[in-house]
Amino acid sequence: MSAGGSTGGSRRGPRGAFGGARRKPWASGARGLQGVLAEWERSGVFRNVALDHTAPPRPAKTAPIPEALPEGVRQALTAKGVEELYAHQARALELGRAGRSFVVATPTASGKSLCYNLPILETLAAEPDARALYLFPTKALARDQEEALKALLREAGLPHGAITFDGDTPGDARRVAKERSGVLLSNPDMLHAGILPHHTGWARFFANLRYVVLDELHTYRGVFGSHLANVVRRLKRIAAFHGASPTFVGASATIGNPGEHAERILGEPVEVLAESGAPTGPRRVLVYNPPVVNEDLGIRASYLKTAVRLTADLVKAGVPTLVFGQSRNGVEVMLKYLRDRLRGEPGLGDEAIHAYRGGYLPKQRRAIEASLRSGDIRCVVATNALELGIDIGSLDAVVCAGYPGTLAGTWQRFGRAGRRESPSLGVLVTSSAPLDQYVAREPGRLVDAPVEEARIDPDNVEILVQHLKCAAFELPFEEGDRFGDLPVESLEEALGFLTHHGVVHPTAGADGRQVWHWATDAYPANGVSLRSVGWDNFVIIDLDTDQTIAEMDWRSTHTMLHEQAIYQHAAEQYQVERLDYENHKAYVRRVKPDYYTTAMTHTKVTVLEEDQGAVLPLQKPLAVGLGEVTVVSKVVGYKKIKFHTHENVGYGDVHLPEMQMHTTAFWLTFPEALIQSFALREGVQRAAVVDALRGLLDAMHVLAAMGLMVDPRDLGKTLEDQQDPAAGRGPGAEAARGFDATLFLYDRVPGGIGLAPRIFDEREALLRRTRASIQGCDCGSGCPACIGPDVGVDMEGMRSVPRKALVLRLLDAVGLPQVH
Amino acid sequence: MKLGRKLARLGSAGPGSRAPSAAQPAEPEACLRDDDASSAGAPGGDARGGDVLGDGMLGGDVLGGRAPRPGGHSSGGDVPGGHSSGGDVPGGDVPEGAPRGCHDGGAGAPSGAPGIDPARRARIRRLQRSLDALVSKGRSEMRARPSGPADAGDALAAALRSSAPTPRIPPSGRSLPGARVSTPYGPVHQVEHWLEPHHAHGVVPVTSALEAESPLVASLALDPAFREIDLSRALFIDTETTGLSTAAGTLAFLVGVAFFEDESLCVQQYLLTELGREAPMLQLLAERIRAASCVVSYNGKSFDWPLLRARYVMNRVAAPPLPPHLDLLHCARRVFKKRLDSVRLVDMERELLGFVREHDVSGAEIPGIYLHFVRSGDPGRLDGVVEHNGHDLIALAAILGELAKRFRDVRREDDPLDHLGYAKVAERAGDAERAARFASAAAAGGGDEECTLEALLLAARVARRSKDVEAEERALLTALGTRAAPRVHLELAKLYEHRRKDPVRALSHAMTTCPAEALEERERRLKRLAGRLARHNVRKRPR
Repeated sequence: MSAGGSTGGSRRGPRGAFGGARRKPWASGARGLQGVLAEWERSGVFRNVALDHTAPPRPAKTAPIPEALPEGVRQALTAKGVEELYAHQARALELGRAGRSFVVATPTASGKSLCYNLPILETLAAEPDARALYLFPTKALARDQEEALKALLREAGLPHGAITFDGDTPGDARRVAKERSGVLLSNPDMLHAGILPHHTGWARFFANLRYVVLDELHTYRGVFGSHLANVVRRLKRIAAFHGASPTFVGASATIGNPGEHAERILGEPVEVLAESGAPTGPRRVLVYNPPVVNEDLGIRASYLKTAVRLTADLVKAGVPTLVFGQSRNGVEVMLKYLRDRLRGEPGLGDEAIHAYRGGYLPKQRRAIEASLRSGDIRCVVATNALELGIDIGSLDAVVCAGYPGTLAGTWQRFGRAGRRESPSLGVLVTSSAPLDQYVAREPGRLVDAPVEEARIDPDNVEILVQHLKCAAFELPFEEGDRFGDLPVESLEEALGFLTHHGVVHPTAGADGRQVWHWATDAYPANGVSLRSVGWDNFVIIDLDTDQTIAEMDWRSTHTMLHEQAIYQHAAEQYQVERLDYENHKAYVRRVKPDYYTTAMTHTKVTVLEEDQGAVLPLQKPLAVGLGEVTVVSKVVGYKKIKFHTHENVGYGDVHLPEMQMHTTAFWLTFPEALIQSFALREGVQRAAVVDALRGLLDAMHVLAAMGLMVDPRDLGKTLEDQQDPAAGRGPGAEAARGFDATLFLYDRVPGGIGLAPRIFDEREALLRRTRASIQGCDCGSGCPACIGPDVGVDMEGMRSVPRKALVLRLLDAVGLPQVH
Repeated sequence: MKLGRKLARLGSAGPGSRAPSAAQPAEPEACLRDDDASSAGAPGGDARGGDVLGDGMLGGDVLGGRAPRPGGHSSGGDVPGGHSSGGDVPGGDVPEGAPRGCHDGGAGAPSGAPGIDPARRARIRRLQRSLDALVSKGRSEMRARPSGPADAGDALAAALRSSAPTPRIPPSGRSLPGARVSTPYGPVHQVEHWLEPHHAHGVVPVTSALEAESPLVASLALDPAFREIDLSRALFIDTETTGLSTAAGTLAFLVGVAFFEDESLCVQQYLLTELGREAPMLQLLAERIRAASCVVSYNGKSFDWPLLRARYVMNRVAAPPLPPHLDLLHCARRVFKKRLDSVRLVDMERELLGFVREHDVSGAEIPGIYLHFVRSGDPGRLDGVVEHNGHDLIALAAILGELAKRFRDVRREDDPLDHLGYAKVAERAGDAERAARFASAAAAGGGDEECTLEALLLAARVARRSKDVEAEERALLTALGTRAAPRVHLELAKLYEHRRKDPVRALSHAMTTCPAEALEERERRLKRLAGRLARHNVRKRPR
């Protein structure tokens, strides 16, 4: 997605402020892109390349600019050198004119912003009072778009202003935003806490609201997306109260289910524009897996250093290159290495290599973008800030240091390379992490596998209840009212719940219908953060400065803010000195330790209710289930892990109350009889088999998280076994006769966010993929990249069969053979 | 998972929620059902002893079967609570046993209109008409004779009392102040009382507000819109709300207004007895505002009015155009911020009016008291809230009067810091003469050095603007005697250079202006003065 519209449309001639044409082409180096590739082939770089794939070029599909477009808008397009529209842009205009909601899900730099700007410009030209609301997931993106949009409005001769409304907007600008501005740019958090509760002051805005644009729709997944869907429900209610029913336009990077995702967020059917009419040149994609340097531990050569080496080759050859790191820390390290390496090369001083990350002020961003276009900057090292549509124009090569976690994210990064029809290169350098190694083992998935789908659950009870409170505050509910696509019975059930808790108060309305009024003195939106579940956040206070540096939700507090924990924030390390559990405060102090800490948590899962059950059709049928569970976890202690070597250098105790959570889980049960007979046959103890199951669970967890496009931390895992002294109660079994070893994967969001049902649906594919992944791993007996290293449980003399082999044989025993 | 199951397992509903009690009221709106909608707008079936029919907009409404109007009653209990006994409830005294307020019998009581016989209904209408006539006559003439409406009210009340149901005793044993009146917009629950002309809040009579000259008020408010305002038609407004924000979910459940009719201040408070029935009271308020020459509030510019405007939008009632708005908080802050750390209404009440509230409901308790009433139907301490609001309204009038009075003439007994505050206001308002008077009073008042210095500098500023060089010089030299501050030297340097054309003295002062002026500026001044001095000496030499 291009914020400034790096590709406004099909254009000839120079591009204006709207575009990102490089005025001074970089001196093509001695060799250029092809030269570097040839050099790599000669020098053996390709020995470690796991995938070499070239995506064919795609010609442009264009449509003429419609005659009916208002003159001013036509002129604005002409001023930007746009003489034709891409096919998807023309279609977007048609849909907008028909008042139909749609989502644009075309690749990076395909002119997505014009898809929504065009119909909106046309509407503004016809209706002087019309308003549009643009929502971006971050403040920076909104501010980035503001300038481009203002220029566009000016060139179209429209008097409607565009203004960003967020926490930093000063008072008088706020008034302008409310009363006059045609386009309001904001973020969901501001809409939620700053606009909707005050909608009476925005009456004119809402009454004339014609369009709502949700850009970067793919970023709204999981908890954030579920919150956003509820904010949209509230927005629609308020718009309806003021007599408006706006058209919604979404723009998304490529994800597997843009239409479904948009419909879930908007609660209404949408048209999907997924086919891009923008041309692309041939794109070569390489996956580079650094060689193993320690066979036992499965440790590979540093991916950061490797990425730096490859990048340096490209930059030296005059290829403008963008490098993506996974963390701010990684970015800083690579920046330093690159500058060190390139110092002394002509024209490649320190100022030619720049970092670019979140937290930069708009001015700094603009300066970097401009220098990139002018050719003063040759290489940019970035975190994923660029993924979020910041316009730096396009470059010739992209190097990803580490797998971004999703196929979609990877393609978004690669999409940054490629200037119109010229050839481009994307290199992924994989790290030793499990996901990276999975990608390196099956690199074909990068090209063939469908990209991930985004999941949300707007009806997650904890999220829903908080938004119903906000909604009731904004406008009383009347009997028969709807809340988005939430079933009416559920809405009334939830209102009953809120009544019971004294949050709303039912009265008989004028026509005898029940009306639920807000009935407390609280301001509910303040207590609801769109980025987490629940309301009881802890604040983290730096003892040296007495400043609050961050907030953390209650659950994470247990594992990350227990006393003595090393808390990492913005590449700094802090130690928790005191945790004031009562008052929700953690006091930390900056330290420079050579270790970090990980909490040891004891987790117990108890099935409350099985919603669906099934049997895996294998030789030895395995029961799987989906349902509601209680997860009780207690942090019992922590380990100190040394940086870099990952040695365990100490333990400590933690005394915190246990946490209970209701959520949804997927489970897979291995019958006791099977375990016993398998142990007998293999000549191992039962505990070894259970340990192997634990390894299997680790591998399933990684693959499930990957398939679901979620952070692995969003997905909990635990193995319940009858011989565990603290064992809970298994599914459908009485406590008395014990139960069978069961693998649980559950949503770590209270109430569930829809992950477990997806795992249940794709259980067979997940199991097969897990098997393939374990088998495909190069390690001997298990490594961090597959089932975890073979060091987990101390069982002297118990293991006659290596752990990895045991896992694979167990899978053979149940009849889950390798598929390819 | 089914939503209900999940909800059942949710421990709490988050901030603002209460632990659900087993004894949740089974009939949430047991109280104050709006049951007269069907009976042609006349609350006929609503046989409450205290109810009086009238158009609600008029001063002549009678509460509690008695007319607490000037001269119309014997006891002195016309002030909400306050001075008299603590148990005094605003809204007038209700005869023992007379049912009032909301509890009109609940389920078992015959509260509906259908049972009423046509003859009686006709009688009620007739009485209502006569009452209306009387009241509007009272409005058009000099003043309604207090006995008139009271008689009508009594007659009507007697007529209605015959079928009054037995009141349900609320859990707290307390009753809801005021009564429901019907208005052209629908029923409004109203508490009303009239203050006698000589009524004083603390030591200040409320009628002092009537003595405030509009130009003086315009200066005080720094708002020229008040220059020609007829303050006898001012509407004092104060609301009690369910929260501190002005967002959509905050209600103004008690809207209090006060206005003068001749010498008497009428306090009317509209109480929202049922959520969702705000429209009539908002319309009533709109009518009051339209009839007023201006609105007077305390912090109303940033709180009460934005909140009320939100209520108008929420209830789809057209908000009245707001006449000039005098926010006394701003006025008080300008005058007293030097002397007082806090200029809340109660601080002003104490400082200006010598009034200290006893047993006042604290602001923080108010939402809870109201929400308790909403949930349970039990008025609890709502009477205290109504009293609190009544005090606020009366205080508004007295504060306006007192603020203006102290601004009118310098009063020696006032604190020099107050004089200084007033001098500044007068200066900003362009009232040079008054600014000079208050500044010299402040300078001579024996206040601390800083106060004196500031007052003298202000006096000098005013004198300069009125081209009174003598006075300016005098003030500055006195200031210099108080403290040889750089800023005094700077002013003297300017005076001697530009007005006295005396570069010698100007230069001597200009040497010591640091740090009152920026270095470069000082250098320019010194250079310029040196030049003038040279020419000055040249001119002098031939003599």
